[in-house]
Amino acid sequence: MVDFAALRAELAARDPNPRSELDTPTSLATFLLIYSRAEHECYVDYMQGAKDLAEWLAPIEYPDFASIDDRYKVPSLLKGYSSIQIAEIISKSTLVEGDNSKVIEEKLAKRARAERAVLASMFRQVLPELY
Amino acid sequence: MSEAIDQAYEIREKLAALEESLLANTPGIASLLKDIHRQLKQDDSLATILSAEECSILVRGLKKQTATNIATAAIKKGTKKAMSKMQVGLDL
Repeated sequence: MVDFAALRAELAARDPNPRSELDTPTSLATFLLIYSRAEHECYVDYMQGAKDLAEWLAPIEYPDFASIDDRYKVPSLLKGYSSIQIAEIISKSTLVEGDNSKVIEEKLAKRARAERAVLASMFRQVLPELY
Repeated sequence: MSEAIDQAYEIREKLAALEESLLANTPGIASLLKDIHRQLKQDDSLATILSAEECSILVRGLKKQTATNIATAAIKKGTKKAMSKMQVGLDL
């Protein structure tokens, strides 16, 4: 007779990365801080480094203050290739299901939310750390 | 306080080992990344103490590991295909 409880306990003790720890969200500021410091490595190869970093740190959590007002839009003056790509990368982490128009609408809303979160977090949390 | 210093020292040590592995092209990148990941998940404020160079090493390690994973998956897929062809051959 196999003692599954003992086996489970043994496996849990052996696993260096328990699942709960891996599921702990990482703050967006942490991702942006590492991105900003390793900008060249993250940027080259069509943002491959940024994609790998986001996947490695997932799930990424937005700060509370980033989604205060949905009417707020990021001014185009503060948008660039990197910021649009980063918003795209971090907004991809959650799945959107439904019909095509709904999916596109949801995706755009998610990206706009990610853009707001990136800008807010950069100004309030990351820039004071960088300089 | 001393625990935070220990953690900072440990993560820096792991990043130095990661750089060495990247330069010498030796295995062990996956386990080093796992350890760094565990530490950052426990306390993500550790990212604030990392220098630009250390962050670059981390991202370089992640890119290398992704490339290795893709190559391993491709080899496995190829072996599976070859094995299934061998099975067909044996059936005949």
